[in-house]
Amino acid sequence: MMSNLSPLQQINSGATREMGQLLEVRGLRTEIPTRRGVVRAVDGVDLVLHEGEVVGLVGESGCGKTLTAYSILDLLPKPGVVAAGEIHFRGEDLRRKSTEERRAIRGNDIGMIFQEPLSALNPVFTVETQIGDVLRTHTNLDSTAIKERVVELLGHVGISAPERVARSYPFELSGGMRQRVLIAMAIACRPALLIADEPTTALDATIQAQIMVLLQTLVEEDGVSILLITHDLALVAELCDRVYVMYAGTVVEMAPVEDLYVRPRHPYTSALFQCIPGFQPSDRPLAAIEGSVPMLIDIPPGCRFADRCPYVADRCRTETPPLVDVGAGHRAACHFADSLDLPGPASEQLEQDHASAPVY
Amino acid sequence: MNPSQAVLERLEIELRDHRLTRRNLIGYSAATALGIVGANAGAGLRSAAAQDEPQSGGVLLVSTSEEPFAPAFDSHVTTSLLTGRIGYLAYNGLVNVDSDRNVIPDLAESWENPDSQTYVFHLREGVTFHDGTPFDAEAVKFNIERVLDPATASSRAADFALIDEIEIVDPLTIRLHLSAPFAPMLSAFRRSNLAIISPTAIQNLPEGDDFLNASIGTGPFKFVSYTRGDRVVLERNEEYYDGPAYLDGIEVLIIPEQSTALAGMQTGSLHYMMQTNQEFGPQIESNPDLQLLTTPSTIWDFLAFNVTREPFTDKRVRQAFSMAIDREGIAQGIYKGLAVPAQGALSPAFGSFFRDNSDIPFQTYDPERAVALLEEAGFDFDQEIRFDTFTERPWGLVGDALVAQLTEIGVKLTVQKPDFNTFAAYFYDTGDYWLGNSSWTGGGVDPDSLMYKQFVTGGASNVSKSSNAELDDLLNQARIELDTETRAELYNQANRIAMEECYVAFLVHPNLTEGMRNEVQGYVFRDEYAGSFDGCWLVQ
Amino acid sequence: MRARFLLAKLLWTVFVLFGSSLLIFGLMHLVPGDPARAMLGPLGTPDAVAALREKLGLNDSVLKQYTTWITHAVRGDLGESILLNQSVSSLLAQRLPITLALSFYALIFALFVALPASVISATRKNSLLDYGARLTALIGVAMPSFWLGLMLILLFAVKLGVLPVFGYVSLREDPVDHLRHMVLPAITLGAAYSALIYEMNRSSLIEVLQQDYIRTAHASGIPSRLVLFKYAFRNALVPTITVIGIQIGYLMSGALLVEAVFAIPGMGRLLVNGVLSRDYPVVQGAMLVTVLIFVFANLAVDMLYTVIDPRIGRKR
Ligand SMILES: Nc1ncnc2c1ncn2[C@@H]1O[C@H](COP(=O)(O)OP(=O)(O)O)[C@@H](O)[C@H]1O
Ligand code: SF4
Ligand SMILES: [Mg+2]
Repeated sequence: MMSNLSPLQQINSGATREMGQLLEVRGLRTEIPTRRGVVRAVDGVDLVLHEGEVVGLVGESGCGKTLTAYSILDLLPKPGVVAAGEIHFRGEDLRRKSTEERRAIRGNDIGMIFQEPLSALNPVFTVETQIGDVLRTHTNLDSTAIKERVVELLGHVGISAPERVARSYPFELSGGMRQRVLIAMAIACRPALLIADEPTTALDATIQAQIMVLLQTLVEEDGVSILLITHDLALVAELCDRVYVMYAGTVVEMAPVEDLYVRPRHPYTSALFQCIPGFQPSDRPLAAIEGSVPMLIDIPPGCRFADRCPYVADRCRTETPPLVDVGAGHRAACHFADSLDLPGPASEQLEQDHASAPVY
Repeated sequence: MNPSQAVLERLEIELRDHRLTRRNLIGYSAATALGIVGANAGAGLRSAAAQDEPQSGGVLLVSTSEEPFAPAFDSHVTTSLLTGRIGYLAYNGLVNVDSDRNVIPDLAESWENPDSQTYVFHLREGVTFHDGTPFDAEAVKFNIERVLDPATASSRAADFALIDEIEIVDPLTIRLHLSAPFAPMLSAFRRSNLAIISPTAIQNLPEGDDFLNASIGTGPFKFVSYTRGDRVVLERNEEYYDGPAYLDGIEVLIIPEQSTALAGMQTGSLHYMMQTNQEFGPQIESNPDLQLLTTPSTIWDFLAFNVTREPFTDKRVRQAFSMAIDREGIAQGIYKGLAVPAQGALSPAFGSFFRDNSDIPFQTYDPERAVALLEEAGFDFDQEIRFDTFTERPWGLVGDALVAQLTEIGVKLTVQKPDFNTFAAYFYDTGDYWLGNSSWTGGGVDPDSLMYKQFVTGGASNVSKSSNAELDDLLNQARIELDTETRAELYNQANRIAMEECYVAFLVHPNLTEGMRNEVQGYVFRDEYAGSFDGCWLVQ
Repeated sequence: MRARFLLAKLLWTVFVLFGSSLLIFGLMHLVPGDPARAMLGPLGTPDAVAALREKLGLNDSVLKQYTTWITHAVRGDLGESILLNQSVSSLLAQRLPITLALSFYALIFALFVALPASVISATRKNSLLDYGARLTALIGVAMPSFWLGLMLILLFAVKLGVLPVFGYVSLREDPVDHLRHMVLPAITLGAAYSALIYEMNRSSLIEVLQQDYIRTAHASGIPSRLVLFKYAFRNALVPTITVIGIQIGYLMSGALLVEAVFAIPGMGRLLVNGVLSRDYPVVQGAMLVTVLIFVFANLAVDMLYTVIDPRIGRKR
């Protein structure tokens, strides 16, 4: 039942899936008015996700991954707004839908799971109540049916004593259990798309691996599509078919996962690889890149990575590099994407790392 | 006027010295005065203009701001003006006081003095108490003896202490013998001072039972119930000797806040406010539904100096402090004009006893001279002097004004302002004070009540602890002197000494002030302690 | 576990009651003035004062008076009011229900105003409505209840004539009139309380609304109303209930003033009169009851916690 495929094998299998377009984001611009000015947290992001596909969204902390997800779900915290762009889900532009219609989509068609499993569950209600409320919201099940469904869901996410856990309060459960509960809640109504925002960052290595396997199972068995948000390239390698790399609110590179690993075309992506010594699932932040993400207020023209880029040229500071095709399904936003020969992680290293990774 | 009354007219009416206690302190402003001075009287009682004939019926709703004093309503014991005033509705005395401060018959139809130490009362026939007990000489004897019994702990005992023999001549005649002449004797028998209570009711009251069950009198109203914290209910006594009252009954509502009572009066849920604070005068006057009854009183507010303590051992310091006080300012500012500046102990309301002593400068506002006097006395302006006052109104406000005015001439004061009970413990009881303010009230019939105990050496009310042989002589003479003119002269001399020596600074004489709705008719101010609702009626 | 907790609470209660009775007794006797003096006036003759003191047992040592009192008290006999000539227990039986009713209505009013207002404020943080509500609350806390009471009387009773000015009608006598008499006092007493509850619930709601689990609920498509009133409210209530519990003392002390303003014959006035006239038995009895109410209010709050928040009482 548990897949034992290596990441590369998964990627290959993913590539062969039948792919209808499930989610398409075009020119998304998300703004947050602040006292110091309008923060363009997401600035012209394009993103496509096909049915049954697992897409990674990676980048340093603060580059706009979460806000992209919130924009898709209409969950932006006030006073954040989507200022421009289209968000097509199953061919319909979500931005044209009413607040109420979008709420009905959340939890039903698109589920989301979060980074911090303890705080993401309400401390004063039982697991049963919380998952039950999602079912009550989106289905017509009666209360006994809901109870049964909750237990079934908990079993489905690999909880061994689902009845007991159903009656438990979050504080009575371990971190891994809570994350499983959250996943159960997110898939309660069998959504087509699951957005997982750093789902394992707060968990220790063993649990992290278990959760990844669970997600993988959901993809395999339930046919769920996942938008996996993470700063951890190792997870991307394990699970994703394609990857979007974000930097300072924009997508700087987009590629099938193996292409990216074999030959990154953007200096930022390369830098991300460089500062991870190996691919063990790790909490380590990408602090090794010199400098920090620029303020996203009154962004000057030019490449946003220019201040930190080792390959920076004069042109980079005046001319904004467009996202251009650099291979099949591979795009990068660097003036020198074609000419630079950037180091990625060695294939052997990739294989080697996975040999020592936990066996699922 | 019968002969005995003519004789008695010569006797000066002496009243029991009504003390300023916590109770009558709060209630003093409610003590009623002689004669009505209705602020709206000229305009007429608007609602009554159409009819002058008294109507029967209706329950008069009266407010009191304090809880009746236990044992309620034992008027032999209570020191509270207000509790006494409620008792006044149900009890009679042997005599009463009319609006001109004359003693008039009540349960005694007449009386005579065969000699200056003997009193014979002829009692009214056919009067019965509310419980059916007949009123007779036995009942009078019982009441006098009860007041004199130490077990009763009556504050009125001193008024009757000179009675050494009570003789029942016949059921309707009683003869009292005094061990010495005592001018205030007759007025001590007035309705507000010695209530005649049913002897059987008191004798049959089980130990520890509510005294309400023994609160049985002969008066125009009788007690029905008393709900602590809420109200006292009285109903008309159909058998009243002077004919039944117009009112079906009276309910005395206990409303601690006068502002609330005033609002209640505006809406008609209350007819009459006992003991209205002068500060509400202007509000009542300006309301067309209400009228303000106000009349000068014999009360005096004072600032006392402890003459046994530095720096008040020096007469000049006392005089200076006295001259630092703007009495008119207090009368206007705190009493809203419902008070007159005081020169001495005797108010203009005393009529024949009042003398103008404005030639004495020390009881008049003169701050420059005050400072000069202090300098002359070598007064140390840097010393801190403790000033005692208390929170209850209006005394607390007067205290504040005094502090402000004394500070004005450069005196440094440390103010102490607790509740009255605490203040009384050192101001009256231990005498541990330097400077403090309060008031005296004496019933308004005899000057003795407002001067003797206050200024005689060792007098119970001599808070200044003054000792002046000349003053003692004058006050003692005045007590047994029967000629009014002579007495007035003696009191005036005593008063002038008190003013000159400045044992106290006399401040103001506040008016007796009460507010009521226009439909209340026939109310009479009779006695500084208890106005009369006897002939009261409601326009319906 | 629960039983031991309750037993400990009970023992603590007894200790608190005993300690406070001793404290109150000591304090009352330390303050200058005594009932004999109060009854006879400052110039009552020394003989009369002494006789009355003897009669009232005030000449005994304070310790003896205390032991006499406490031995009677544990048997349920709180003695006789010196001033009111009635047993303290019967006085309390008359007065306490009135004060409790008043406090209850005040609490209801406070919650009725504070909770919705706090929800509006928290969900529209920094809006004009929020500023308005906060300003009102600020005024509510700062306003002396004496003044507020009078203003309400002037407006609703005198000017509009829709409610009575003062007094009390028991529920049994006439339920409608009872409520009519309770409206203004309850508002007066509840106003500042309401403001406190509002402030606390607003800030705790704002805090709760930023929590991850609220985001989870939204992400699950739970309707906003349900998120607010079920998921956020319950969590926000814990600190609010603490305030409600702690400030129960505010209600009790506020009742002293409000009962005076509206001439309501409650326990507050009984206590004030008792203190002013040094009516020791009444003060002792009323304080004892007040302390009991405090203790029980705290106990009730403790229990409520465990109902509202399952973490409390289980994890500790
Ligand atoms: N409430 C906010 N106010 C102002 N700026 C915000 C706010 N929330 C997020 N941002 C900005 O948006 C950027 C993207 O945030 P986020 O999407 O959470 O990043 P990520 O999920 O990639 O770590 C951050 O760098 C931050 O500066
Ligand atoms: S455009 Fe220039 S600055 Fe930007 S990534 Fe490419 S080389 Fe670096
Ligand atoms: Mg994030």
